[in-house]
Amino acid sequence: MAKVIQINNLSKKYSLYHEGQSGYSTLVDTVSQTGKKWINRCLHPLTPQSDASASSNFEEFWALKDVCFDIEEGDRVGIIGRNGAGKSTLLKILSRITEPTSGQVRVRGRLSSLLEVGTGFHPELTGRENIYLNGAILGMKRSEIRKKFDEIVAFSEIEQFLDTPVKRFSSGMYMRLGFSIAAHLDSDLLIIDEVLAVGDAQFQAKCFKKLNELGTKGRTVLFVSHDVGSVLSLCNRGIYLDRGEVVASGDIDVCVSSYMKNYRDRSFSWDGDIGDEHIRIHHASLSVDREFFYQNEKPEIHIEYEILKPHPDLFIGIGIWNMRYQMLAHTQTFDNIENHHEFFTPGRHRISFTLDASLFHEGEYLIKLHCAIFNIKKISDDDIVLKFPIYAKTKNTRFKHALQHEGVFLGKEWILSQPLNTPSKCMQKIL
Amino acid sequence: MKDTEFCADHVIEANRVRKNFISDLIRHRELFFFLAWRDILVRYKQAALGVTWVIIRPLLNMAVFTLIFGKIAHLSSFDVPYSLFVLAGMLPWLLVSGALFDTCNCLVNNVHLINKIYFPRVILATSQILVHLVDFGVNLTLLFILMLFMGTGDLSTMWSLPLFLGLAVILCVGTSLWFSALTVQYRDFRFIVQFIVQFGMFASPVGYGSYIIPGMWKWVYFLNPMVGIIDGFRWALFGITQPDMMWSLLISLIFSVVLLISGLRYFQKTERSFADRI
Repeated sequence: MAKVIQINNLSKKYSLYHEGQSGYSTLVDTVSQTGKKWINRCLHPLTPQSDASASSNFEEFWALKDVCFDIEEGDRVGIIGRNGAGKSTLLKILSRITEPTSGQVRVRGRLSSLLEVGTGFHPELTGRENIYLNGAILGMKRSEIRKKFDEIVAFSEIEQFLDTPVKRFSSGMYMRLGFSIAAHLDSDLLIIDEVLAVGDAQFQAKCFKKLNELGTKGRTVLFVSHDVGSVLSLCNRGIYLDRGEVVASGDIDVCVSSYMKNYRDRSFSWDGDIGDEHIRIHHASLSVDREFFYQNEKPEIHIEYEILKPHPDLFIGIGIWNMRYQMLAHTQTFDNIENHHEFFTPGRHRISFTLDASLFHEGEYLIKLHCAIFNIKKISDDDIVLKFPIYAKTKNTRFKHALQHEGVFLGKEWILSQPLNTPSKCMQKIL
Repeated sequence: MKDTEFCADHVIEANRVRKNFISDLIRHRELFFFLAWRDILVRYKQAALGVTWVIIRPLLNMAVFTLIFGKIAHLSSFDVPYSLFVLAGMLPWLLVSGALFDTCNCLVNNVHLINKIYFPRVILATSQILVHLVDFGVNLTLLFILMLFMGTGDLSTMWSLPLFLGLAVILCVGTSLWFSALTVQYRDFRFIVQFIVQFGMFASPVGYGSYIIPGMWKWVYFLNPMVGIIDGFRWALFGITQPDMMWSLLISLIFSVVLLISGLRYFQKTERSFADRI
C-alpha cells in the first residue's frame, strides 16, 4: 500500500489571553500601549524595560504536540478523542485552514475537507446557484459541477426546491444539499468532521452508506467523531488523540479500546468482599482484551466466591439490563439443575457463564450480579455491576438508526417460504 | 523518520503559504469569479430597485456637487457641463471608495468560510473589486449616454481611459489588501476606513477641478493618489488638462504600485494567522 499522508512531529501552539484581553486587539489599544512604552522609555531611560507584564497576559497552549503518523491509500482513518484533544486542530492543519507551528505534513493526491456541511451557502441564492457556489468553494471545477449536477440533485432529494432561495429551506434540506455536494467531490483524500451529527435519521443513514461506498472504492477517508459506534463501523484504522498527543494509532479496535479505557466508565471486572455468613463474593469479571464486544463474540463471565456455610436454597444469578434500567434477560445458577449443588459446597469456587453477544442489539448494557437465598433473603442485589458495550462489526447502515435501541436481538432467521404459485387478484394489482 | 522515497504533491509546514502562492491562486481562479458572481447576484436580488440603485447614488451626488460647486461657488468646468464634469470624477471615486469600504469588512464577514475551508484569502479580498467594476460599468454607460445627449467629449483622448481605469484598479487591489488584513488584526480599523471614505470625497477633486489648489499646497494635495486618477479620467473623457497633471499622475502611479506590492506582502504575512485570529 502506498502512503498518502505522512505527518512528522506536527505541533500547533495557541496563545490564550487572560484578563479580558481578547484574541484580537484594537488599533487604539495598540497605539496607546506603544505610546505608553515610549513615554516610559523617555522618562526613565536608565531603568531596563521589562516585558514581564505583557507576557503574563497570555499563556501558551499546545493544541498538538509532536504528532507523527502515516496514512496509507484506501485507509479509512477514524480520529477519536475527547473535546479539546486536538482533533479539530489536526483537521484544520490538514485542510490548510491554519498553519502548524512546527512540523510537517506531506500529502499526495487531491485533498478536500468537509468540516461543515453547506459551507458558504448564501441564503439569498437558490439551491441551483448554491450548488455551483459551494462546489467552487470546495474546489470543484465548473465543468465538474455541471457534469455531476443531476447526481447531486438526485442524492439530495430536493428537485422541486431547486429554484427556491436556500433561506426558505428547512434545516434538513439545507444539510442534505450540503452533504450531497460534498459527497460528490472527486478527491483522493476526504477529511470529514462530525458533520453527520445533523440531519434526520434516514438521511444520516444514507450519508453513512455513501461514506462506506467511498471507503470501499479505495478513497482515503479521515473521519473525526465522538460517536464510537460510527467510527467502528466506518473505519479500519484509528488515531486516538489526547491533549494534543497521539496515545494510540493503528487498528481501530485497539484505538477505540484505549479511548474507552481512559474516558468511559466501563467496568469489566469487580473485586471486593460482599456477602453474609453463608457466602462471600470476591470477584466478577468479563473476559475481554478490548473495552467492548462485537456481536459475533462470546465473552465469558467469571465469578469467584467462598462458601462459608452451605444452604440448599443459595443461588447466584446474572441479569442483563439496558441503560434505561430495564432487565432484558437473566439466568441463575439453579437453571443448571444437575450441577447446582456442586456450586455451593464449602470452600472457594470459580464459576463462569458464556454470554452470547449476538443475542443483543448494538448498544450499552449492564450486567448485574445478584445472590440470594431463595424466598428467604437477598444477599446482594445492586452491588456488583459490570458495564459493557456491544458493537456490530458490519451493519446494515441503511437502517442503522431505526434499530438503535438496546434490547434482545431476535436474530435474522428470515426465510422466503415457497413462492406463491397463483397470486391472488389483489396481489396482481400491486405487481 | 523522513522517508525520501515518498514524493508529496504538497507539503504543509510553517511559513509554507508564501511559496506556493501563485500556483494556489491559479488553481482557485474559478472561485474568484464565483465569489464575485455571488456578490453581484445577491446585490441585485435583494434590492427592490436592482440596477437603479447603482445609478441613483452617483446621480444624486452629482446633483448636489453641481449645485454647490457649479451654481453657488461658480467654479469653472472648462466648457464641459458641470454635471458631467462632476460625474466623470465621481465614477473612479465611487469605484475606489466602494471597493475600499467593502473589502475592509469582507474577511470578517466571511468568517464561516475562513474557518472552514482553505483557499487563497486574496480571492476574498479582491473579488469584491469585480463587483464594483460591474457597478462602474453601469455608471460609465450612463455617462456615455449623457455625453452623447449633451454633445460633449473628446474622442482623440478616449483611448487612454482603460489605462486610467487600470491605475484605479491597481489602487483598489493595493488598498483592499492592506485594509482587509488590517481589519482582521485591528477590529476598529473599519472606523478609520469610514472616515477615509467620508473625508476623501472632499480631499479628492470629485466636485471640483484640482486647478483650484494653490501653489505649494498642490504637492501635498498630489500625495492623494485619487488626484492623478480623477484628473486622468477627465483628460481621457473631455481632454481637460490640469496644471502639473504629469506629476500628479506619476505620484499616483508610484503610490498605487507601492501600495500593491507592500499590501501583497503584508497580506501574505498575516494570512496564515487569519483563521486563528478572526
